[in-house]
Order: sequence, then structure tokens, then C-alpha cells
Amino acid sequence: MIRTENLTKDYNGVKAVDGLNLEVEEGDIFGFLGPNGAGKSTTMLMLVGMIEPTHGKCFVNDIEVSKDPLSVKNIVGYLPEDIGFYSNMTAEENLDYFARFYKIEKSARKKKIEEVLELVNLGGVTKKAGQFSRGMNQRLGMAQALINDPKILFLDEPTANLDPESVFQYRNLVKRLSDEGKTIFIVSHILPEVSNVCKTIGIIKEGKLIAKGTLDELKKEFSGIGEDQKQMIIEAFDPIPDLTHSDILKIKYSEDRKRVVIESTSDIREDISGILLEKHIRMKGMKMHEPTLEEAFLSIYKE
Amino acid sequence: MTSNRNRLTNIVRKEFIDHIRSGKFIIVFLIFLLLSAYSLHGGINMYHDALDRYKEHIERIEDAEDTGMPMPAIPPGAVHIEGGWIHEGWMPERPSALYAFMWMSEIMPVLGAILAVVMGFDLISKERQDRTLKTLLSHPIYRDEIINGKAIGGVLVIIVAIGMTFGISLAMLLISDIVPTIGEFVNIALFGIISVILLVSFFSIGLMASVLFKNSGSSIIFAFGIILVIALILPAIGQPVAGMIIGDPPEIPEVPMFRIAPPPIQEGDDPPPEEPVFKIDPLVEKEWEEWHRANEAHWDRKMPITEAFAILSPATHFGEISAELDIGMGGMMGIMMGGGMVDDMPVEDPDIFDKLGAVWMNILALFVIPAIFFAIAYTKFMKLDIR
Repeated sequence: MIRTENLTKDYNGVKAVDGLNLEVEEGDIFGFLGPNGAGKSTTMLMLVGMIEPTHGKCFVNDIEVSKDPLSVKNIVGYLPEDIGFYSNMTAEENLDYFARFYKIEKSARKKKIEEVLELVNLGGVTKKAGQFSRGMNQRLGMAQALINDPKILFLDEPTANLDPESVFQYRNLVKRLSDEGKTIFIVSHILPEVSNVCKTIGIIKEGKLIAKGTLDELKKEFSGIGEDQKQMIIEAFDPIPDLTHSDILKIKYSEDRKRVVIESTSDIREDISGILLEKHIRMKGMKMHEPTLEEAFLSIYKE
Repeated sequence: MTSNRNRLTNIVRKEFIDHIRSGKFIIVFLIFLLLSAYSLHGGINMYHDALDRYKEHIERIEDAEDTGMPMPAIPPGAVHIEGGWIHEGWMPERPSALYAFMWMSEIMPVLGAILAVVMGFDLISKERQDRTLKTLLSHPIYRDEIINGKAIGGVLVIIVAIGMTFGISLAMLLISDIVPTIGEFVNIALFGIISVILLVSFFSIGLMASVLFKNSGSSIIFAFGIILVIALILPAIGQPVAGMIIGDPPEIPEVPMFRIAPPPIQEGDDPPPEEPVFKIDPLVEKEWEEWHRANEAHWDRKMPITEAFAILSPATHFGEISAELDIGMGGMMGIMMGGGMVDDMPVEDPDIFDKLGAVWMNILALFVIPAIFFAIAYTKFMKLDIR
């Protein structure tokens, strides 16, 4: 659905995007991760036909964007970061203005505007956009991205200005849109947000794609814990004696020996708790450690 | 996908509505309208004064013709009008309805510049400041359609604004019992058209500034700065610069052109003539002729330089064309005199096309100036970084 071939964008000799090769499948919720200045938004701007690449190509729904940007814009919805609206117009008037760029009949246009405003909880709001909070603006941004019933949605930092309740609603909306078969491309530097909604994740560093896969794949690949390995953390009120088990690969005690991290080939929590009970060690807690996206991300960026 | 025309129409429609709903436009346009009406009111009063003088002259001439006597209380061979004596052969002329527009032609470049710059200075900069440009460009529309739509929307509002101003002006004329002839009406209509182009020129400067600056405050300062330079400073320094390049004009001959000599006594003069005659010495005449030639050559060399300094001034071209249309101070000189020498009067008024032909360079310049500023705005906007 989305494909880039050696996509490059050069600003005054500095490569914001550098030979990016990326593919996003139809129906995917793709999270594009990277710190500020990594080239995420620039990639998105090229994908939605708002800037032209210096080199390379990008395709959306098999249309080469730089050759036919208008056809691409007709089938995509784009929510820019820190979106702006005409302050002298209401939400409905703003949407009506944008909707007129699509071939939508007047009655259908009116219906669609009402529908998307309800979807983002802005139905019946009559005040001018200039009086909107940043959160309301962001929700209106989502509505304008949906005005043409797009096949593909591009969302740039979609939760940046939202309150917790709106974030919850946004996640539900994204899942619902994905269920409808839409492909969603999300750019963000908020890792929990991406890990919460995205099926596939790509990580970009200095304009280059350095990792791509499902959340589990990335966590396993970059957390330092192998696919068939388990990691356990044990905490006790008393110093923990030396532990032995045939499945243990690696064990690391804290200085006061009241905390221990075990890497093993299987889940050996039951055996370990038995050993500690026998030795009358009072346990504070024992848990399996799941690698996080943050760890994977930091690990990638350290490399 | 909607057609190019529909997309452009959508932009034009929004821009048009935005302008006419804008508080700053409404305020400046009301001031423009009020001052235009006030200036027209002054022009109408002057027209009526001129009409009274005309009627007075006609009555005197008719009285003189009826009695067969020299005109009473008038020096021989002259008629009196306000401000002086006019010599024999003077034919008073009925004042033109165009007289009423004299002051309007003077205030138009100033008020028009303010109105048009207010309309244009933040068209793009505000979109960038409010981040709406990025939102707009994410929808199926080309960049050039945005700037073209904004330009067309602005021009349409200018046409409506000038149309309203001239509609009110014509109504004021008719209420004041001034009915323009067809010829005068054509001149007024042409004056309206060049007023539109004048305002479009200033609007294009505002639009260019709005593209060049992200901040609307800087944009308005730059726009008025540009207008100040091209319409006032450059034309003002044109004369002294031309003087420096070309040098001083030739000195006027010290000997007078005429001398009063006793009347020549010719054979058969009985008695000899008593009145002295003006006599021109052939040598003096040659000296004066040479001075005339040198002076003309001096001005011929100087004019292109001074004109070059004023070439980008829409107000200068507007003034030249207005004068040719008998509107404005230049064109009013004849009307202020109240008539002309019978022998000098053309058998028929020059054709309007002849008049326009005489100022075709100014007309061309008035079209080229906004085109230059629009081109700069367009080129810069197409390359604008919208990140």
C-alpha cells in the first residue's frame, strides 16, 4: 500500500531522509518511530505529496506520489503535527471548505461533515475554531483527515495535544478505522502510544530505516533477550544465597544480594521459589520481565 | 477529484468572503468610501462654481453682442474671469462633469494603497502563522491554485469596492443635477478601471510581502516601505539625480528677446504711427533659438532618467492617465481656465482611443507593475518551505 524506494530529501546539503526503503502493507497500523529530527515528518510530507523528494520514489496505492500528488491526496487523509484551522470559521465551515476540494455532492458533504464531527466529539460545537483548545483542534484535525473517507491515514504525532480521555478515544478510533480496512501510518516519538496501537513499527535514525517489524519482533531482537530465553527478577527481604538450576544461563546479584536477575531457557519461577522457601528466605516478589519497546528503542539508538 | 476550475473557485469564494467579512477591510473601506464621497462633494461644489462663471461669461458675451459695444467694464479685447483677464478671442467652455472627480483622483493613490495593502499583506503570512497552509495543502489542490485563488479573490473585492465607490459617486452627481455626457461617462468608466488596476498594483505588493515574510507585522511594514520607495522616494530623487548626470540646463540669454523700438516710418505714413512696436534683433533671435534648442535637448536627455526613476510608481502612471482622461490636476488645467482661445480649439474633441494612445506606455506600465510583483509572489510561494 505504501512503498518507498531509496527515498531521499536533502535540505541545503543536509539529508533529512537518506535512501529510505520502506514497505507498509494494506490494513496495517504502522508506527514510524524516531527522535526529533530523525526524518519521520519529512518522510510523511513526501508520502502525502506535500514536498518532493530530492532522489528516489514513493508510491501510495501504487501511484507515484511526485508524479500524481493530487490522485494520492484524494485517497489519503493527513493530520499534520500542530494543525491549524481558520480561526474565523466554525468547525463545520472549516470542514466544508476542505471537503469542497473533493468530488462530494452537497448533501453527502453535509452528512459526512456531521458524521466525522460526531466521531471526534465535536458535533454541535458552534464556536469559531479560534476559540478551540489545542485538544479540540487536534480532534478537528482528525475529522478533516477523515473528510474524504480515505483509504490511508497519515497521522503526525496524533496524541501530542490530547488529554487522557481523548487519547483513549483516539486509540479506539484508530482501531475502528483499522477494522474498516484502512491503512494507518503514524509518526510519533511517544513510544507507549505507538506500542499501544501499532501492528508494525519502523525505527528511523538520521534519515535511515534501521529496524522494522512487529512489536514482539523488535522487542526480542533489540532487548538483548533471545527468542527462547526468559528473564526473571527476584526480590527478597533477606540476602539471597547462590542459586543453581540447569536452565539458568546467566544470573546477576545486586550488591546486598536482595535482588537477583536470572536469564534462563525456561520459566523456572516455581523451582526458584521452592529453593528460597527451603532456605527460609522471605521473598518480597518474583516476576517475569517482558522486554519493552523503550528498551528495544534505546538499544537500537545506542548501536 | 474536482476539476481545476472548482478547486480555484473554492479558494476564490473563501477569499472573497474572508475579505468582505474582515473587520480591518470593512473599517478601511468605509474610510475610503467616506473620503471619496467627501472629495467628490468638494468636486461637485467646484463644478457648480465653474458652471456659474461659465454662465456669467456667456451672459456678458451675449450682452456685448446685443449692444454692439465693447464688453462693459472689461478692458478692450479681454474678458474677466475669476482670477484675471482673458484676452479677446477667448471662448468660455461649459465645465465638464469630470471636474467633480478632481480630488478623488488625488486621494485614490493614497487611500487605494492603504486599502489594497490591508487586503494583501497577510494573505499568506497569516496562513503560515496559523499553520493553515499545511492543512490546506494536504487536500487535493496545487500550490499555484492557492496563490492564484487568493489573487483573484482580492482583485474581485477591489472591483466590487471600486464599483461601489463609483456607483455612489455617480448617484451623487445625478442628485447634484450633474448629468455626464456619454463621452464623460466613458472617461469616468475608464477612470474607474485604472483605479482598479492601481489598487491591484498595491494589492500585488501586499501579497508579495505576505509571501516573503512569515510574520504579518514585518509584511505590512515591508509593503508600505516598498510603496514609499517606488511611489515617493524614487520619483523624488529622479530629478536631482538626472541633474547630476546630465548637468545644469543651458543658461538663459542675458539679452531680452524683444525690444521696444520707435515705430518705423514708412513712405506714405501721414501722420507717422504713434505707438511703439516690438522689435526682434536677428542676432538676439538666433541666440534665443539656440537656447531653445539646447534647452529642449537638455530636457530630452533628462526626461528618460526622471521617468526611469518613476517607472515602478503606479501612482505616477495613474496620474498621467487620469490627466489624459481630463480627470485630476493635470487634466483640470483647461477646465480651470474655463475655456480656450477660439483659434486654438480643436474642431472636435480627440477620440478616446487617441487619448489612451497618448498614454499607452503608462497603461502598459500599470499592467506590468502588478504582474512583476505577482510573479515574485508566485515564484517565492511555489518554493516555500512548508515544514
